[in-house]
Amino acid sequence: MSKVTNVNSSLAYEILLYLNSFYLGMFFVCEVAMGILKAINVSYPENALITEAGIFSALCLVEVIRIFLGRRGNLASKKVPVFFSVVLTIPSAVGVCYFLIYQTYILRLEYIWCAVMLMFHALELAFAILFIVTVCKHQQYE
Amino acid sequence: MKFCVMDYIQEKIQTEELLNLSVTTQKQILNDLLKNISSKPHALYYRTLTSKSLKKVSPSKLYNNSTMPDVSIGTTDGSTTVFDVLYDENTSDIEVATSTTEMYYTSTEFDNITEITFFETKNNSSSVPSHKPKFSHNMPCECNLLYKVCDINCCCDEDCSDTHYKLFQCQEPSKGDRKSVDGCVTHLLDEQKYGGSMLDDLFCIVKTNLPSKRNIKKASYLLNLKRYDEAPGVYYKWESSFKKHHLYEFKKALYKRGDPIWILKNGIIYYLDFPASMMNSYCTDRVPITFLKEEKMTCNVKLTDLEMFNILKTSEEAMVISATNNTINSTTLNCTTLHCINWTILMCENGFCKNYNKTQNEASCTEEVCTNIALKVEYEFYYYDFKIMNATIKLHVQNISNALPLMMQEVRVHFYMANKSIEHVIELSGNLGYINGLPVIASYAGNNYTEHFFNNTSEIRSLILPENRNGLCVRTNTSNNFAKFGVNKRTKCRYTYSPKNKTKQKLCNNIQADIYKLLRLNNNISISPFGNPQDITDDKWLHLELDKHNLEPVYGDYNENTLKLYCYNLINRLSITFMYAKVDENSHTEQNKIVSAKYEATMDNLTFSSEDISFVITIDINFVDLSKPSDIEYAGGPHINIHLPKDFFFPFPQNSCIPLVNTCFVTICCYVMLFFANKITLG
Repeated sequence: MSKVTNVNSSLAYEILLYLNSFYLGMFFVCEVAMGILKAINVSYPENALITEAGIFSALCLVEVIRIFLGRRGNLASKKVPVFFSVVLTIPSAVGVCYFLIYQTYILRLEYIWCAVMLMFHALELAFAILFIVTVCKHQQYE
Repeated sequence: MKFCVMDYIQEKIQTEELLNLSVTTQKQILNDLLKNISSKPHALYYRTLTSKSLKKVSPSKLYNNSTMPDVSIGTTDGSTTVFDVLYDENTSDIEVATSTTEMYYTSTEFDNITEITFFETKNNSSSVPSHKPKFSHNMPCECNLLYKVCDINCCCDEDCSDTHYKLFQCQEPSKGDRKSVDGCVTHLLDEQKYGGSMLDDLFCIVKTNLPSKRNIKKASYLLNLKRYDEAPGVYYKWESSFKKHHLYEFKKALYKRGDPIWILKNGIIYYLDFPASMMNSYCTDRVPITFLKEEKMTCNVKLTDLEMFNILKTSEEAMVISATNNTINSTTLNCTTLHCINWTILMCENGFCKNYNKTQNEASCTEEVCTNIALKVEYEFYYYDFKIMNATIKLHVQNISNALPLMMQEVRVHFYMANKSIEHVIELSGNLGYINGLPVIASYAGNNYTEHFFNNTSEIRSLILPENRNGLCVRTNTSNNFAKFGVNKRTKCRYTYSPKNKTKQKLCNNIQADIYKLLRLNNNISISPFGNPQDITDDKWLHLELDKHNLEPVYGDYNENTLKLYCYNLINRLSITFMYAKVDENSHTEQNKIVSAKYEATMDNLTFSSEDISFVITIDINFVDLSKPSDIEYAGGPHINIHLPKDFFFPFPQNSCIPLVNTCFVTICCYVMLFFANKITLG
């Protein structure tokens, strides 16, 4: 019994992931630049800067994987990669929340771009779930 | 916008009918009035004086309409309702609340004659503030409350010199102080280059999550200690306090902040201390009085251990000393090398102070009562020209029962940077707006109210009310029963009329005239809208006047047979209602402006016996916060009333001969759009 699937790609989800990939690039560059600026201007407690750099690297890595899986799953109408993308949204959102609330020095600019990132996460999560539901509904069996 | 709102309020008020004295109607009127305000309260809330403009505005300019909201409500509606609510006999004394102000009433009625303080709003800022950065002089200075006298620890007071600022340990505004201005802890970019720009605003650090500072070295040092005394708290033992006190040493240097006040007794120098509670509410400890540190201590003590006895003994034996420039090099320490002053002891009773005379004013006890006992002691130190120039002790005496095993005593310590008594210093009630708990500024002059306020010859600067002394109403100019901002108060006392002549004609009118005199209803009283009336013109002062024309005429009748006097429409209840609004400016909080002040009187028909013409008078002071909305109202969605034609979204007539073609055309358009959209996105 072979499985036949329709094309169920979500346009909105794809647009969001596409924009998010560019936004992630900007977020990465700006956050690194801001980190350097902060490291020069203000003094960090012991190991705080290294910890934050580590968390940020992990966040970026998770984000790249999440967006890649999301796009791949969406375009191929496969629910498994999208499911993993949804799962990765959780650590990614936690990482952004860390920079929004718990990092040592929080700038007003960071409030803005972390909030935008969280907005992307929320919207993508919603559309990803919709996508999974759609794929599950439209599965056809021979 | 705020003026528009206030105009709107004025219009609403002017259209109101004449006063209806029914309670429900008045409540409705107040609610309507406050709803109208609360539905558009933003003029009171969202005042848009930015931090940037704040830096540029001078204090005098802040009195203008452009900076302080000129909120004016000139009618009695709100006050009448509050008044009616208060006097509604069915209303519980405990649950009197309007939609605008929460009121908590506690009463301890004694023989139907009571003085009650209803509730006291939170007084967060009336105490002398601790260290504050030295502000720019063009900002309002909230802690500058003594006119032309340096307020201690007030780093923005222009009356203080640089020497004073050094004593206060004032600091120049640093980056860290900017939080109070623009909400930023600091800014990453160069302030001089980017200061005030949008970039500067974005690069501000709004929050830091730095760990609390810990002295790790000290902690490890403590852990290495072996004796408990060297490291209390490390070992699980009860802490002993015999080594708690610091060992102060007289360093022959000028006083600086935190130094104990030194006294010279029999050639030996001691430091001055006052009672304090250590673990509980009992006065079991003593702590030194330190320079420029204001203190207030209340604790329980036995009669024989009262501080007044201790300080009277000390004042006889010791003098307060100050080191001078000559002291540093001298080896002998006596009054030739030190600046010595004797104590000034004042005995205060009912707000009036006089010099203490040991023979006349000494405390004494009978079997039942002790007289001239000071449960409240105030130390006042006047520091001027690098020396303590005057040390005054105020003993607030009263009579107490001898049966009391313990009593609560209060000790206060004040410091003043002046060479004249604080009684001769003009005290402001806020700068600029009123601060809770400070007297409402009133002028009894006919005109030039501000000038009269700052005139040293003027004695009365606050709204003084009759005092309750042993249940009887007493009118004095030195009464301490005055209106304090934000403190709702009820005073009840028995008024007794002593007729000057025996004629019964117009006796009721004479009683009414006497009541007017007692309540100062004949005076033209003007109320300052701000705690600092400087630069306020006469027309801005609020006139507190009883509208006698609206009162029912007084008349009476004396019945010879029953020897009863019947008086109709005598005033026996008076309410003074102040309506105020918060006019906080960014970091300058607790700024209040009185926008309206109104008398309301109620009359009653009273019957007296010919021998005893007396009745209870009630005086209420109420503060109503207009800046608080009565309830939270959310703005509704925008309503657009546009009448579009029916075929606006589908401009194809129903009776068209080719409906199928139209439908097909629309469908094809949709498909083309979707096709191109997919083509673009999926490549």
